[in-house]
Amino acid sequence: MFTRKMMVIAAVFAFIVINAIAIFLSARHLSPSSGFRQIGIWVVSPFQTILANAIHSVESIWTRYFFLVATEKENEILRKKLAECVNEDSRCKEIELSNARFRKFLDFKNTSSVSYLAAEVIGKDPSPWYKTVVIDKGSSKGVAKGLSVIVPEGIVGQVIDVYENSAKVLLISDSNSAVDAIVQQTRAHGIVKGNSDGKCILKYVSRKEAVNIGDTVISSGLDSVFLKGLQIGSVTEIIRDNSGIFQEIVVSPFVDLEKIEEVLLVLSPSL
Amino acid sequence: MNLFQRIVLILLLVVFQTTGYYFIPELKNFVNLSCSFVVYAVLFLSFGEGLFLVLLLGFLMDSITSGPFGLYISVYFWIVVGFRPFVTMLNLRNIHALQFLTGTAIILENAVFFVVTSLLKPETVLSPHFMKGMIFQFLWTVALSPFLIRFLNAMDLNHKTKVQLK
Repeated sequence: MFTRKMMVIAAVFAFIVINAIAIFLSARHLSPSSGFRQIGIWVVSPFQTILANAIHSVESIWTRYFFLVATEKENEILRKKLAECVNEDSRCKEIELSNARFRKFLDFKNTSSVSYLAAEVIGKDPSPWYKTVVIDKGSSKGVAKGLSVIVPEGIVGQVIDVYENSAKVLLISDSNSAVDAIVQQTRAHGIVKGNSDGKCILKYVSRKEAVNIGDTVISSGLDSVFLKGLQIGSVTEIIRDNSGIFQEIVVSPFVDLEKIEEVLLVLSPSL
Repeated sequence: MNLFQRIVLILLLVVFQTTGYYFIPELKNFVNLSCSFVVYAVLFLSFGEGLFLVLLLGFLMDSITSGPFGLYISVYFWIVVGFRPFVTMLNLRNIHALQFLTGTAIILENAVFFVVTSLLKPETVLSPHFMKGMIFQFLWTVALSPFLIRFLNAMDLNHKTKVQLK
């Protein structure tokens, strides 16, 4: 009744359908894929750490010994100080604005109680379709899923997968990322989402809200993931369609997400 | 190369593509090493060994990516299964054939990722910046992967000669 050729075609078609279903179950986290991933990461991450350290060592030798040693060091210190100052400036502005709005309430939360864990980036997602990085700290160091990841310049992303000695961080530029945010100058509220070009989009901001090019976008703290007042980026473009109730705001992240080498994980946020 | 050496090669390839490419900015959007290896496996390895190595490569890539688990395994599996009959029939080995096969492999890989990403997130938009990166990677791979594949094959032949001499 059925020729051999038809049977082969039917088998291939059935296999494609099963394959597609398996991928969509995996995408919806309905299949036990994390165990397999754990094995793969366990095999790959030590070698990633070795290669990352080797590259850092070569870079370090090149920059420290072959180029002006003193200048390099001074530059490094100044850069750190500048980053701290930028962050401090943002924090002060935030406090100033809060002060003006809540004069009667001066008992601000003390963010210094927050503890951090430093980690090094050891790899990136092999696919350009997803924006994640692998860091060299995992559950053995207290890293947990959902922790926020920052650098002095601002927000980097959020931990999405944790393994024993490594973890995966979803960058804010990934389309699956979402950060509850406000525009620092005008207090316009929205959600910062990733975009495929490495920038972010501040969505769900009412058309009535005034937002200007160059304004700073900071975390609102309402998502219970990121502390309030952390810098995200600056407004570079405002898209207001003739119809619709929202405007879309293009945000250029302060952090160069393509070149992060060290990050800080916020271990005990006092949100 | 024997099977163990090929497994080590796959591991190094994955590590270099995920860590080396990240820390050396000049290599951003450089050759897609994994697709090149898949084409090498289709052309020069037995079906069984090629499939095993390609599935291993897909497994490691799936472990690192944040996309749905099994996507790389599936893509590489279908490239091997789909390319094999043509390669056997047409005896494709010259540089242009290698360029054509690696180019097709990259297009297939990205097409599958695009379809899956779009289905999971309908608002997915491909920005010009993203497309530019993909085109650069495509061109680099098409230009250089034939040499890489031939180099791997030359290593194989060298290993076989040494074994025969022993």
